Formats: sequence, structure tokens, C-alpha cells
Amino acid sequence: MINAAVFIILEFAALHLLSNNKSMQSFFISKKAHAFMANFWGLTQNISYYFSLREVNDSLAKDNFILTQRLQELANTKQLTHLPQSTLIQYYKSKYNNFSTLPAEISKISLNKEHNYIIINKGLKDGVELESAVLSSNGVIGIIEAVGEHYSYASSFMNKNISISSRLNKTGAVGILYWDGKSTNKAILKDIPLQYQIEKGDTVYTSGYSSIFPKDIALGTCYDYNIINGSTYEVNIKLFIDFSSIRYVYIAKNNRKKEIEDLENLYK
Amino acid sequence: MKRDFYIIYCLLVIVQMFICNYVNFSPYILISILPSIIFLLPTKFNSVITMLISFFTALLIDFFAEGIIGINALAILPVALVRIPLYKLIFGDEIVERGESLSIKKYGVLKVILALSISQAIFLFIYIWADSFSINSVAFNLLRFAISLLINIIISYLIAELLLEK
Repeated sequence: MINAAVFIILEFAALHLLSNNKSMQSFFISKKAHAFMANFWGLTQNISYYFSLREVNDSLAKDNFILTQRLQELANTKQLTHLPQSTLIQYYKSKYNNFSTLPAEISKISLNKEHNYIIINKGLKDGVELESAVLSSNGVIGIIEAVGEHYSYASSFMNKNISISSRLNKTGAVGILYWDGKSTNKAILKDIPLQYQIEKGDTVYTSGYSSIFPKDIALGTCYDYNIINGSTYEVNIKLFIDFSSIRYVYIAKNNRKKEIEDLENLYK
Repeated sequence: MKRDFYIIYCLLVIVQMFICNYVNFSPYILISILPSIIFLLPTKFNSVITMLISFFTALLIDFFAEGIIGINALAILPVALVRIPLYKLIFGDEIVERGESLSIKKYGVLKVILALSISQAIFLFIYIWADSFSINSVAFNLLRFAISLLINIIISYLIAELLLEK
């Protein structure tokens, strides 16, 4: 009798902790644990970073090249006669205008679970806020779920609780992107209506319908698709990011998030 | 039970934390030594004490290694609950009544492996259900369960060799 009672109490406690994992991550004990994990487990992460320096350098060089090209395009907007200069400048401003960004580095990343997480070396002191996006030059990494003084805990996209509102480039069809549950660089785009034509090689971008992620961030390309229950497409996506090799990220905070949330609350 | 059982127990908990962080052969392989170290606790610990030890040990692992709070605790508690009934069923009532130590030589390799297999199966079933039931297909989860069970049984036997009296 006592055994059963203790079992039920402890099992309910465990179930409660698990189902409220997101809010649990914000407890002060969890934040101390995050700092420990970043400092202790992050030590060996640094060793693996050392051995992947060549790939990181190549990736940074590629990013620099793309950024230089974009700067050149901006500088040369007067030469693009088919569009007014102000329209182009507005385009570049509007893409990231609502978001302020902060560069950061991953201290600890998990890859071997179904609920993977990331610990980032920026926290409250650096201005990180809850539910900020974690991005890289190759796409979306995750969402900040707990913020300590010096470190932040983010749920990685490789986590069953994370989804991204995304659109196919050629058709504009919008669906929800989930991790495929197995690999470090594949995802599934679900709920695409059947009336849209899916093309292999088509690029997937963030739709901008979420208040967390900026719009038009390239996520990956389509390599296969299936019809599910005769009603929607499920599109297999190869991500531009390989989670096993990311290190430098940036945290993007939507400056208008509160305004959006206030509007949503008005009509709830 | 070996004299330095408690030291080995603490070291194995630390080993489990390392496994959580660094062992990543395949999404189909989930390695956990937690069920075996809980199952092999001395028989003088009754079910309530075993459940409390397993709950807090699992929470420690969840906080400092797993990253998902509560998942190991959820999966290990049933193992702690059925530990004593399982001992009685497989090894007889005497081992519990006398507070005897489990011994591979006395009870045989097969019985020890059977007991460890059942405890691993219970743990893995609940862990995989809580972890990936809604994200992955039934076939994936079943395969993950089967492969993980096979590997964990072998590792559990090695843990038993380490913890139990010769």
C-alpha cells in the first residue's frame, strides 16, 4: 500500500516535471545546471571545435563573400533601373528591421536525443530575452526557453516541440516544418495542400508568420515528397544546416513581439 | 555486495552522465546503465527507499546531463517498484528475507541476465514512449527499443560483474 502510494506520488511528480519542462528550465536550479553544463560539458565541445576549425573557417569565408555581395548590391542599387532605389532599400530594411541581433557562441549542444537543446554563452547581462530566435547564416537553430545571467538554454530545432512556419519558394505554399527525428540535417514540411505543385530542389524559407523568426530565412531544399491520407503533401527537406557542425550563431529578438502578443490577447 | 559498492555506484552515475552527453552512435541506440545500477542496489533497501534513491539519482542525471527534466525519473520508478517482486520471482524469497547479496555464481548467469533484461525492458519502454512516441513512427520506436535493449543487456551484465560479489 505504502509502496503504491510512494510510487504514484513520485511518478506524478516526474510526469509533472516532464510535461512542464519548458517552465522548469527557468527555475534557478536549472539555470545553475545550465551554467555547469556549459562550463563542464562545454570543455570537450571546445576540443571538437578545435578539430573542426578548418570547416568553420571555410564557412565563415563563404558567409563573408555572400555578405560582401549583398553590400555591393545595396551600393549599386542605382544601377538596377527596373526597381526604384527606395523599394530595394525598403526591402533590405524590412527583412530584419523588426529584429535586433546579437552574436553568440554555442557552449553545449546535444545531438543524441529526441529533445535536443543548446546552451549559448549569452544571457540576461547581454540582453537576451525569452522566446528569441537562435539563427545561423544557414538557417534556424532554435528558440530561447530559459535565460540565466550569463547563459541561455534553447530548444534546438532537433526537438519534437519545435516547429517553424515555412513556405516553398516557387509556389508560396505555407506549411509547418518539423525535424525528421533521426538525422542532423533533414526535416519534414507538413500540411501542404494538394493543389500546389511540389518541385524537387525548391527552396524552403521561413514564412514570417511567426513572431519569433524573421521571414525569408533560407532553411533547405526539397528532395522528395509524399501524399499523406490523400489530403496533404509531406515534403522531405534537406537543411542547409548540419547541426553536428554549428558553433557561431546569432540571437534575433523581435522588437515588435509585445505589440503582436497584445493584439493577439485582445481577441482571445 | 562489494564493500566499495557506494563508491562504484556514484562513479556509475557519473558514467551515465557522460553517456548522456557523448554517446551518439545512432538514433536507434539508446544506452542507459541507470536501470541496472538501481536494480542491483542491496536487497536490504526496501521498495520505498529504492524508489527515493532512484528518483533523486535520475533527477540528478536529468538536471546535469540529460537536459530534459523528469524523463529518467519517470522511466526508472517502475523499475524501482518491481525490483523486490522481481528478485522474489527469479531468485526466490530467501534472498530478500535474509537481505542477501545477489551473486552471479550462486544464482547463475541466466537468471541474472533475465532479471536485468526485464528491468531494462521496463525502463526503455517508458523512456522511448515519453521521448519519441509522437514524433517517430511505431516501427522506428520498436526498432529503437529492440536494438537498445540488446545492447543494454550486454552492458548491464558487465555492470553486474562490477557491482556484485564474485
